[in-house]
Amino acid sequence: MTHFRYLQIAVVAALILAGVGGGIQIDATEKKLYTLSPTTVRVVEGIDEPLSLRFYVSEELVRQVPSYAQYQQRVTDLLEKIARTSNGQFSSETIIADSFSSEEDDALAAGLTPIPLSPGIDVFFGLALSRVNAAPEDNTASEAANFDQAFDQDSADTAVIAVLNPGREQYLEYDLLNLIQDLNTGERPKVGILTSEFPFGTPSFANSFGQSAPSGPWAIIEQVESIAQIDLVFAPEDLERLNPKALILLHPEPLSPRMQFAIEQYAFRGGKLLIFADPHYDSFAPSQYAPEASDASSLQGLPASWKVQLRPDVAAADPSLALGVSYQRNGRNEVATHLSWVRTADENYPSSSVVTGSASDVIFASPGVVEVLPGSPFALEPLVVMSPEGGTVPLTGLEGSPPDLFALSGMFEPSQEPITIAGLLTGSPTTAFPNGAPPPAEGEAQPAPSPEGTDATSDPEEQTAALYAEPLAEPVVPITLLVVADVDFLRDRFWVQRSNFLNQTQLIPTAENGALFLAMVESLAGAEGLADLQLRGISNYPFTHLNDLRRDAEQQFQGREQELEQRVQELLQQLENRNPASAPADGQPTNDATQTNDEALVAQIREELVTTRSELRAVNRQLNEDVESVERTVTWVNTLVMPLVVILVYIGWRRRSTRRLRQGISHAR
Amino acid sequence: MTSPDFGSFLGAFSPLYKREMRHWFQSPFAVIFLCIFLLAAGAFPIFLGNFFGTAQANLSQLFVFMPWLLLVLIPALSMRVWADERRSGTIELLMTLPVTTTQVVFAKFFAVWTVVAIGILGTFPIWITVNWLGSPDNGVIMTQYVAATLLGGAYTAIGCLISMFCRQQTAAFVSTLAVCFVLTLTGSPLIISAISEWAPPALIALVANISLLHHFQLIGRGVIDVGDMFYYLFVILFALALSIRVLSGVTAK
Repeated sequence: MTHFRYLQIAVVAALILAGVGGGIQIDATEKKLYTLSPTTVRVVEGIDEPLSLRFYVSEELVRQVPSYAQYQQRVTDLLEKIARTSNGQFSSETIIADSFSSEEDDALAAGLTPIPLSPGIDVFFGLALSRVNAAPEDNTASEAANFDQAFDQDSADTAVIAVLNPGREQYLEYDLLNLIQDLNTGERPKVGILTSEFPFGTPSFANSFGQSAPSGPWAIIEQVESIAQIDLVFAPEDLERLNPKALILLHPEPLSPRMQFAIEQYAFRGGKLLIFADPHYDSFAPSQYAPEASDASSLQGLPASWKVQLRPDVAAADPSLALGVSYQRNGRNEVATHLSWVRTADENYPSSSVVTGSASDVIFASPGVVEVLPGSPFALEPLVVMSPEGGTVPLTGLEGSPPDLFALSGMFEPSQEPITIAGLLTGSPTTAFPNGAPPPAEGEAQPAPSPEGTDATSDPEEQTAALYAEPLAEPVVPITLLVVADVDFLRDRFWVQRSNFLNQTQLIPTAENGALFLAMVESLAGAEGLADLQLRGISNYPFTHLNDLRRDAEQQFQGREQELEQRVQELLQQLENRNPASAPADGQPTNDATQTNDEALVAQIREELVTTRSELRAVNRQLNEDVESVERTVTWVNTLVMPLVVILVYIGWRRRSTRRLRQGISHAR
Repeated sequence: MTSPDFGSFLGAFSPLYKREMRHWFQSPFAVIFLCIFLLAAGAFPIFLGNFFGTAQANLSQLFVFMPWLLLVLIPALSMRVWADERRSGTIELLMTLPVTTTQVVFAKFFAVWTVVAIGILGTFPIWITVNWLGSPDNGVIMTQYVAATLLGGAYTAIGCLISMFCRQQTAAFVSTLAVCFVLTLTGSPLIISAISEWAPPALIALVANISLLHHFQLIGRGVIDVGDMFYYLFVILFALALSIRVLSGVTAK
């Protein structure tokens, strides 16, 4: 056989393999983005009833927008992988839903959102998952918007992703798993929330500035709804009636003794507590709906005998983790370091606990310090700690909007001991209410009417008796208590961006706050884990080295800059005071000696002003010097060094060749 | 390829390949090519790609420009492969040597591909840079380099083929640029929408899949798919097989 014959065979073989080899892959990404995650495998293997997925695609869309054709392939590949893993419990088919076809009607009926491609032409690109054994008339489709599709939780036999957005490719697996979870999870754990905040959003209401806009639910709530059933707890009786797997105290306003009793008894009976309290809640907005709420919350909801607290009057701070924030100073926009706004990394999670999952890139805003007082029945396992450079700043330094960040830097006090901002507490305290349930305080929230209509009673005495009628003196199993000394980290602005895609809101996480919260709820409420999967979607690889340089420079020069700026202000003030004083008052004789003295003084002040200003400019330059020098080096090295190396190697090689040639010639002679 | 024929293939291939490589570096042409390529590959991400503005430790800024850099610079290399031999008449001389056309074509192709690969790998300082500035996903970067090398191979093979038809280097350059440009862009909305009015879906899918850029982007996400790898291998081998056919015809005349 000739070489060419081999080549012909190779061409044909390559063509065949190019056609059929698609799908056999080596996933080289660090987070294995293109391999089914262990969570997905576990969930898919555990599907307990046959599920059928219909992937509606319009050909017009795929034809005209190639990115959708590529994305269709990606979706189909993933669906095939899931089907192969599911032991026959999951099947999928692609349905071409062209205009004016019966498939288009099916897509609409399933709850997919039409995408207007051109006037008069709507196309589809979405998923509908349904139970194979469901009665057809029960199919109720619900709208789904983003990675936490909102579904009719209890009765739906169909769950949909109304539009698949190619921009969310990195969350595709998470989205699909959410969809499967929604139909597959027979019973999702109940989670109660007791809060003075409005995590489910607020309606529009009138305030002193006019009509406020209504706000939607926080992204964390939308997320948790896909793994747990969330109920608000208003009154102590709600807690007993709902008996959730976990209770979240979210920035709780001062709680009544009766509520404290209910919380204690709930915890004694094995209920898990997740407390998010904040000594300085940066995102606090006063509301007529919660007049007692303030910008500070504590662990006051827990009995004092538990001896667990947020350290009074201080917030945690850490120069090595501090975030740069945009800051208005002297009418200029500047970036300054907020010592108490921190972005954590792996090393801040000492125990690698399941409670925090794999999340680590989390932004906290002026968190408090969790501590256990001597004599406490609880042991503290730190979950999130500041670095060894961490310390505290007084809460007074955080006052003002925005606070004076330069003054705040001066108030920082390093700490000898590790600063814990989130921890898991376990212990077996005895009851703080030996006499049983305290009577309801005046004006205390009434329990929400129960669906069964059994325990709502108007008689306070009967209520007292009804609330945990047989109180326990100590817990049946040691209490598990999660305390996070920050509430801001749950607010959207610190970790997620919302963008609009075909009138549907898309959530794009920029930090791992949501995944941390999900992991906490999953581990304590016993819900199926999706947190790790969400984490895979976040790809943020910042220039940490430049950030470090910037921070070091700020630490080095900020004090001096502040001093100089103050001096400039003082000199300007002196100059201003001097000018009117130097002018003689009406009718007064002019004293030549005084005038000369004043002029000399003004000249001196002016001179000092010029010197100080030039020094200030020099310090400002030095602030950016290191970063700019790195940028310059990187630019030169990457543009010029390699071409120069090539030229030098070439010259060296030519010289050697010429020398050898000459030697050869002289040998020949 | 374990056949004894492979040994005999390599026997004449190696000296031919070395001759080609010597040829490339005896003139400053390859060095000029490498300098321009490395200068542009370093400058584009920093000055046009806002490298410091995006402040992300990845090489997406480099590999966004890479296909277009290769598209312009590879035809400048490949135009010389056969045009020179044809113009100076050395092609007939070459064919009188005891070598097969397959060996000659492969040697010429691999020599150019080596120069291109040196250029692509020569951008490694920026890989080191992002590792110094942050902690990038090196798996993704590795696949991006693999994708760029394969794309470079495809452009080179097409360039070598076209060079065989053209006596003038300029004609070879412009033709290669045009053909590679079309093959790169076939999957783009421009081309797809132009044919979507009349073409059947299978043809549209085929056209979308022919795009050299499409497969480059697929591998560059961090996934080496056997289908994508063999796609490039097919393009390279197909172009080389055609070159051999054409060359056999030329020398037979």
